[in-house]
Amino acid sequence: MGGDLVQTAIEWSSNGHTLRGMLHQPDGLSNVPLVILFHEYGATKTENKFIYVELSRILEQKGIASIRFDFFGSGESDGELQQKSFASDMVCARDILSYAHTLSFVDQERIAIVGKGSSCLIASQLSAEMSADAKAEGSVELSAEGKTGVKALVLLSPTVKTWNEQYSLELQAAELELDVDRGELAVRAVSLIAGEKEDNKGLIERYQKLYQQQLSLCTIADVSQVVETVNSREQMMEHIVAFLENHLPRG
Amino acid sequence: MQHIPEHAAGKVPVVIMFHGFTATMSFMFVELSRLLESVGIASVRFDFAGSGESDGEFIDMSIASEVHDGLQVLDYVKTLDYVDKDRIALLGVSLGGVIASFAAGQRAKDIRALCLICPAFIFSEHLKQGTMGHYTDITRINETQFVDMGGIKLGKAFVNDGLLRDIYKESAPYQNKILIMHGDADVDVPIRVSEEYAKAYQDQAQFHVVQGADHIFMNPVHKQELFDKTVEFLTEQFQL
Repeated sequence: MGGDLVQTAIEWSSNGHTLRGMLHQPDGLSNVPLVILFHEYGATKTENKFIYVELSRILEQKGIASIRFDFFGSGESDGELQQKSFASDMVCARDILSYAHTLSFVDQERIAIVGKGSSCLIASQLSAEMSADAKAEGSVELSAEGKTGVKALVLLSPTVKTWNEQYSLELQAAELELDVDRGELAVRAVSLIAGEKEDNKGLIERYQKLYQQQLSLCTIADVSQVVETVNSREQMMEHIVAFLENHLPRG
Repeated sequence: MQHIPEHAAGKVPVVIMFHGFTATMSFMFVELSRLLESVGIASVRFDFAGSGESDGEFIDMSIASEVHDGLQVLDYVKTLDYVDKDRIALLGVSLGGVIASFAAGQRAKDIRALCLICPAFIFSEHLKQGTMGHYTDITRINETQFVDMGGIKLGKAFVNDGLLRDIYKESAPYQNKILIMHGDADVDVPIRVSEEYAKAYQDQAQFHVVQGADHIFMNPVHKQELFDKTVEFLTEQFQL
């Protein structure tokens, strides 16, 4: 490890639109694990107070690659926020995972996703789809080994509430569609991080039912849709990094 | 990030955009840059050191560091082949408005027009009262080294530098036109701050109040009014 941080601007086509993001590749390493970071509705690939930039740079120093990107209608990517929907976000999520599968330096069996706020449901849905695909292809055994393409999931302050009423309705519908049977197979480990003050108990219970023993709940004071204190930010970072290092062990 | 009008003949005018406190070059500016591009105006957006994708730590950020960053970008923009060096504007939002105003003061001859969106000149008043924003006590910062600004460390460089700033003196050398826009429902930076600034600049300043707008122009109607006014002002100043 060591050397300079390598951060590269990337872009690719998704559904006829250009998406833009940032790839962090540990210097000189191959066969590395990869984390894909999904930002929440109304945010961008840096996330609130640059927490995703900090997380990507810490992971890079630990030998873990990451991709941060702007969903269609957000940040630097094509489209307007008003055009964005849960369906368009899912298209972006599938395409970014396909893009990740083309990266030769990535160990395809060690991919994790981090979702924040509204994008937790996108992360869950995507991992469930991966599991269903593996099952349909008769590779259930592979899935049970956690080799479906999404090895671990971090859900940071999940919510179905945004300041866009239509998008919130779409999130609520997506929550109801989460399939318990598919969820069990979806990933090997899930860390759900929630704030003490948050009003998302119902959704947390839903995730606990979905992922059962695979899910560990971490409660941190002063964490909500935005990080509220330096102390809670540091706790959150330490927890996420330790979880990912543990579940994406070095090959 | 550079936005260059596709079908422009010859050199084009350019706007350099300065983002606000804990914001990035993406906030609001992507949409505005694309709109300006469509009317023949190039733009350059960037993240200040310690913010967004740029190197550095936020704790080291100060008004001096951001003015320095802004002037470095200005020097870079002047080297670009497609840029009309006589038609360069600065545009800043919130703290970025303060930085744009100070940078224009330092490079008055380089800047043709200045656009300030809810400029956060209130920082000076707050710091002298021992606060940052509405609630953060900064009186012990030389002992604590930083204050917790809602999950991000604001360092003593910002406070100690900020206490020495004279808004009007530093902005005064700039003599061209200024457009100041502010929402009258802004609770983060009250509109009176811009009213006082506009009054001080008299005929040099145009002051546009966006009725009902908050500090981040969350309502798309308010944002569109802001963009329309910006395009109108810049096309006039650039004689397009």
